[in-house]
Amino acid sequence: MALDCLFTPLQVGPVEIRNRIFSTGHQTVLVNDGAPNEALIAYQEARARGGAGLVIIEVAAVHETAFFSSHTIKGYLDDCIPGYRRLAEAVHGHGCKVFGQLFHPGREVYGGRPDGTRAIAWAPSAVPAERYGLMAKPLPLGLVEDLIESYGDTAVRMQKAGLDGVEVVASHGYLPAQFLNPRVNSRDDRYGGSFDNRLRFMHDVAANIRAKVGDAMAVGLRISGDDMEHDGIEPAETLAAIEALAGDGVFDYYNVIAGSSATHGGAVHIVPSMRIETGYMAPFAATVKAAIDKPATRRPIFVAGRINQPQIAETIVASGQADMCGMTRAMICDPEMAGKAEAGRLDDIRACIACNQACIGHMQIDAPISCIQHPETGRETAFGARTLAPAPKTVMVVGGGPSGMKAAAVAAERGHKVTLYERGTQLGGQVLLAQLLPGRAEFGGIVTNFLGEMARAGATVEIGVEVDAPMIRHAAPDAVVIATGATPRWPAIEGVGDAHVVDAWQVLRNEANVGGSVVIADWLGDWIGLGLAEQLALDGHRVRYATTQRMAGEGIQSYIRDQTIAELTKLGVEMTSYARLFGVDADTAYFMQTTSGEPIVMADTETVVLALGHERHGGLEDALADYDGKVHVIGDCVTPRTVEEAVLEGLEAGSLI
Amino acid sequence: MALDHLFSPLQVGPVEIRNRIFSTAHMTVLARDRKPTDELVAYHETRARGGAGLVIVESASVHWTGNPILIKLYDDDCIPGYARIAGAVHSHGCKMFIQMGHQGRENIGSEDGALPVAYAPSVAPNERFHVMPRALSREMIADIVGAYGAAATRVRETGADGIELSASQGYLLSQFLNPRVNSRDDDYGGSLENRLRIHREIIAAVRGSVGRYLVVGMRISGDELEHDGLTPGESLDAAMLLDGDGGLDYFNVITGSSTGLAGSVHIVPPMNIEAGYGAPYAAAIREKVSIPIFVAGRINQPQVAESIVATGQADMCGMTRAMICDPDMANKAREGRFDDVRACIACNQACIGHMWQGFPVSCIQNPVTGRETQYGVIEPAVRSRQVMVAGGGPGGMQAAAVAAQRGHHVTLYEKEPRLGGQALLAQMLPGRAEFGGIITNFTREMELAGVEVVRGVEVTAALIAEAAPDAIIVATGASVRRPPIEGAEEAHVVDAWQVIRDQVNTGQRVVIADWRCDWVGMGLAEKLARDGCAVTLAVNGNMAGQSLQQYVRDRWVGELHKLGVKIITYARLGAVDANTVYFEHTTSGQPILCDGVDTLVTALGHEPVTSLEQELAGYTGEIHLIGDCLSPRTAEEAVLEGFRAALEI
Repeated sequence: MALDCLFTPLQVGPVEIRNRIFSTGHQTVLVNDGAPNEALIAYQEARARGGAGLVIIEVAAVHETAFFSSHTIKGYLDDCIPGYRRLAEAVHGHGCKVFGQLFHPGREVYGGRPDGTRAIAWAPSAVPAERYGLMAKPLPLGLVEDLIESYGDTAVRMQKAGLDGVEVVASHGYLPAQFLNPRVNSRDDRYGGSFDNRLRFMHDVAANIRAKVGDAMAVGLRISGDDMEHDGIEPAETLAAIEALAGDGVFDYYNVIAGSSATHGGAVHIVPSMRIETGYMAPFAATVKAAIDKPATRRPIFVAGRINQPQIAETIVASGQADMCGMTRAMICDPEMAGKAEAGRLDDIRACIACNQACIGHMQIDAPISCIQHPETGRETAFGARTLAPAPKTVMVVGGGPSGMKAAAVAAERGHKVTLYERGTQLGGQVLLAQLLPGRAEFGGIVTNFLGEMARAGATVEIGVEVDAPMIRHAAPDAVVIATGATPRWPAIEGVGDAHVVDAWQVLRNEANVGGSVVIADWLGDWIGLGLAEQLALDGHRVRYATTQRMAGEGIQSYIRDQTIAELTKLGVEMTSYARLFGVDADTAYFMQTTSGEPIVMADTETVVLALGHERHGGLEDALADYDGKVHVIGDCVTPRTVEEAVLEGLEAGSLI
Repeated sequence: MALDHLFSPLQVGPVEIRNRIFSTAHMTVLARDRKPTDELVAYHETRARGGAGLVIVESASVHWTGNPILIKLYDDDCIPGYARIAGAVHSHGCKMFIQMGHQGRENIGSEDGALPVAYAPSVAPNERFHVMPRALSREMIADIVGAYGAAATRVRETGADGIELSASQGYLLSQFLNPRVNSRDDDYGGSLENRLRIHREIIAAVRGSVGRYLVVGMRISGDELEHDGLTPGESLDAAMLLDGDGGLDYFNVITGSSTGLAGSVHIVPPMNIEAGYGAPYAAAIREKVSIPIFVAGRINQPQVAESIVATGQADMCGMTRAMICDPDMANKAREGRFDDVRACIACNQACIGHMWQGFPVSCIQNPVTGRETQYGVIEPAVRSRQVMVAGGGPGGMQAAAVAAQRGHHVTLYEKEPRLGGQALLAQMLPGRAEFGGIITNFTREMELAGVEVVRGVEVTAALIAEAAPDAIIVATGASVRRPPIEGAEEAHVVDAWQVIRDQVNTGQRVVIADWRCDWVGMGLAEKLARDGCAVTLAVNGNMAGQSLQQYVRDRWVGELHKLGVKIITYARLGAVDANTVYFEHTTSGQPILCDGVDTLVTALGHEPVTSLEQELAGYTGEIHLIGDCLSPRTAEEAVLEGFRAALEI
C-alpha cells in the first residue's frame, strides 16, 4: 500500500509539517517540577527521530487555578521556558514540529495537590463533576478575564521557547467546553446563556492569544466532537461552535476527538480501548471539514481516536476526512512507526493493541508512561539505543511467551546468536488465551509484533521442543534465558470433588462443558474473570461473577474496566465484590465476605469457573539450580504478574547478556 | 486523674525511656530518594519536643528483595539522615529506634509502574494486593539474614537507641511463622522451631552487630484477625520461645494483617473500633514473657494509656495518631492539662489516607503535621487586629483559634445555636460519634486563645459595618444540594441532612442515591438498616465508599453486608415516581430500576453558602474565603484554609 497522502507536507498557519502524523497532547508523568525535563525531552525526541511530523506536548496549566496534578507543566510561570526551549531544539533537530497545549481543567481536577488536599474545582457554574466527585466553584467575572489573559501569556512563553504552535484544550469537558455546554454553564453574565455568550470564552481566548503571539505561530483548538455522555456536548453543538469560530478566522486548525472527563462513560473515549473500532472519529472530522470548506474559513482538521496503523491514517487523509492523524499510542508503542511507514516497512511496525495498561494505566497510578510491548518507552534515558554486544554469544531462550520473545529479539539485535524454544505448537504463551476473549482479539497483536522483531533480528525459533536440563547442559550455551511462564492456580477448595469446577484456561480453550448457571470465582480483578463473564453470558449462560476485589475489574485500567462493566451490565451478569471462594458442593458455591466474614451463598450453580491467578512454571529453573552457566529467569516463571513485567524483564535480560 | 504510671520511666534493655508514650513506626511519605529528609527530621523532632518518650522511625527496607521505595537501610547513604533525626530527637530527651522491615509477599512498591517480584517463604498469594510471590531460596534467606546484621551496624552508626524488627501484620517474618502461608519442606518450614528459625537467625545477626549496646525488639501481631492469619496461640507460642532465647529486649504487640481486607483494617483502626482494644492482646503475651510489652491500637487519650499501664496490660503505649493530631499530647498530659489535648478521632483521612495516595502525612485537625518545616513556628502578629470570623464549622473555628493565638482580637459568629457545622451531622451517624471530637477540640483551642464566640447571630453586611473589623474570614460552609429530580413531586424524597437530623420519617423500603461515595451515604445506609429499613445504597462511583480511606471503607462495607444493605454501583439518579427510583448506569447508559421504594434519600453533595460573599461584593476591606463556602470539599481543606487565612492576617 502506497502512503502518498500520509507523507505529503501540510501547511498549518505559518508552519509546514512534513507529514500527516502527529502525537497528541498526553500526560506522561515524566514531569516533576512543573517544567519540561530531560526525561520528557528524551521521550519526545524519540518520536521526532522516528519520523513524526508534529508532537504536541502535554498540557500546561495557564493559571495557578488550573491545577490538574502534581505532574502538570506550570505554563503560567516563566520557569517553564528553558525546558520548553531544550525540548523544541531536540525535536527540531529531527525535522519535527512542536506545539504546546494551553490548559485549564475547570471542574475536572484529576489529582490531589502535593500536600494531599483537594484543589478548588473552578468552573463556569456550580455544577458538580460526576467522575471525580467534585463540586465546582463558579468563576467570578474578574477571574474569567484573568484566565483569558493567562492563555495568551502562556502562549507567549511557549513562543519565547521556540515552539511552533499552541493548542487550546477545549476537549473532554475541560474549562472551555464547560463554558460551551449549556447543561454545565448556567451563568447569567456575558459568558453564559446564549450560544454566542457560551462561546465567548473560546473566542476571547483565541483573540487574546493571537494578539499576543501574532501570525508567526500556529494556534489551534482541540475539541470533542461528541462528549459521549448524558449531559455532555453533542456533535451538533461542537459543529456549530467550530463554524462560529471559523468565522473569526483566528484558529489555524481544529483537532477533534471524542469523550469527556466528566463521567465514567465519557472518559472511556479519552483513551479508547481495543473494543472501540479503529479510526472511529474520522467521520466526524469529515463533517467538520465539510462545514468549514469555504475559502475564507477552510482550515486543516486534525483527528485522533484509535488510529493505530499508518494504513488507517492514509485512508483517513486520502479520503479527505481529515488532514492530520493523531497516532499517539501508535508511537508510544513504536516511536519509529512514521519512519517505517514512510520507508514502506509496514510489517515492521509494532502496532499498538490499545490495552491501555502502561500508558494511561501508568498515569492513573502516578507512574511514568510506558508500553507493555515496548518498555523502552518512558525509559529512553536508560534504554535509548540498543548497544551491540562486545562479543556474540550463543543464547538459548526457553519459552515463547512475550517475555521470551522480547528477550530473544533484544539479544539477537545486539548481535548474539539466539535460539528460542517453545514446547507448544504456537508462540505467544498466555497471549494466545487473552486474544480469545470477546473484544480482546487485538491482544494477539503482541505475538505478531514480537514474531516480526525476532525474525528481523535473526533469532531462530524452534517450535514443539520442550527444553530440559540435560539439553541445556549438553548444548552449553553462553547464556540461558528461562521464560517458561505460568499455569492456572488451583488452590484446595472444600467440596471440589462433589462439584463441577473448571479453570479459566479450560474454558478459554473449549476444553470444558460449562453448565447453564455459572459462577466465576475471580481473584485478580483483571481481564480474565471479566472476559469469561462476558463470553459465557454471550453464549447464553446465567453468569455470576464474584471477586475478592472491591469492585469488578479493579485490577485493570479504568477505561477498559468501565466499558467492560457496561457490557456485562447489558448482558445481565450479576457482580459481587469482597467475595472469597471457600467451598462448593453439587449445586452451590460458597463465598466469604472478606471484611465481615459472613457467608455469601450462590445457589443453583452448575459450574464454578476458577480465575484465581497463576503459579509459576518453574521446573526447568529448579532443575538448573546447580548449573553453573549463566541463567536469566524472566517473566511469570519468576513469579506470575502481568505481560508488562514479563516484557520488561525480557528487555533487561536481552540487554544484559 | 493522676497519670503516675504513664510518666514513670521504663528500662528497656540498655535504655531508659522517660515515660510510657511512644510513636509506632508508620509511613510518613516524607522520605525522599529512599533517605530521611529535613521534613522527616522536623516531624519526629516535633513529637520529641512535645514529650514523647520514644519515637520509632518508619519501616526501612533491609534487603533488595523488600520494598523498593522505602528508606534503604542496605545502603550507607541513609546514615546521615537518620543521624540528624537521632540528634534532634535526643536533644529533647526522647529516644529513637529504627524499624527494620521486609514485606515479603506484601511488596507492591513500584518505582516505574511495573510490579516488583515479591519474595516470600512459599508460593501463597496475598489477597489484598493480589500478589503471587516467589519462594525464597535458602541462599536468599541467608543473604537476607546477613543484610539484617549489616543494617544493624548502620543503625548503630546513626546514633539511634534501638532496632525494632517487624514481624507483625503478615509481613515476611509473620509469613515464615504462619503454617498456612509457609509450606516449605526445608528447615525453614514445618515445625514451629523451623518456622521460627529465620527470626532467631536475624536476632543473632543483629546482636552480632550491635551486641547489648542497642535495644532490639520485635513487633508482632497478637492476633492477625484474618482468615488465614496468625492466631493468638501461634503468636504467643512464638513469643515465649523467643523470650526464652533472651535475644530480645521487648515485644511490641499490635493486631491485624496486611494480607486481607479484614485484617488490614487493624493496621490503622478506624473510629468504630473501641479505644485501647489492643490491650488484651498485649496482656495475654505479657503474662507469659519476661520482657517489656509495648502495645498500640486506638490508644487515643492519655487516660486510656494510663489505665493500660496501671492495670499491667502493657508497659509502653503506642499513641501514634494521638501525636499526629497533637504532638504536644504527652507534655499536656504530664502537666495535667487533659482538656487541652487535641484528641485524635481516628478518621484516617490525612494520615494513612494520604499515605495511600502517595502524599505526606498530615491531620485534618492539625494541618501543621507533615508541614513542620513550613509551619513549625507560628509567628505572633506584627500588630493586633480586629478579626471577624463568619461561620463556626471546623474551618472557621481553626481560623479563629490560630488568629487569636497570633495576638489578634477575634470574634467568631455562628448563626446556629451550636458550633460545629457539618461535624454536628457527621457525629450522629452510627460508629461516627467520635467525629464530634473536632468540635470539642476546636472549641477548647478557641477558648485558650481568647476567641469571643457569638452564637445564634448571622453575619450580615450591616453587622460588618457596625463592627468594622480589620479583616473578615468568611467560613459560611455549605448547604445540602438538592438538584431538581424528575418526578420528585409524586414521590417521597428527602435529603441526607433531614434524615440525620431526624426531621423526616422515612418509609420502610429506602433507596439512597449517593454521589460522593463518602461517609454520608454509607452512614445513612447503616443508620437506616439498623432502624429496620430495607436499604439499597446506589452509588455513583465504582464502589461504595470510594472516597473514603480504605480501612474505614472496607470495614464499613462489611458492616453493611451484615445488615443486608444492597449496594448498586455505577448508578446515576435519573428520576423517581411514587414507588420506583430510576437510575442510569454511568457507562452502559442502561436503566437500573429499584421497585417498591417508599422513600428516596438523596446524598448528592453540597452547595456553597455564598450569601455573605455576595453581599460583600463591593466591600473593599480584607476578606478571606475558606472551606466549603469557597468550594465544598472536606473538613481537611476547610481546616487547612482556616489555618492559612489566620497566618495571612
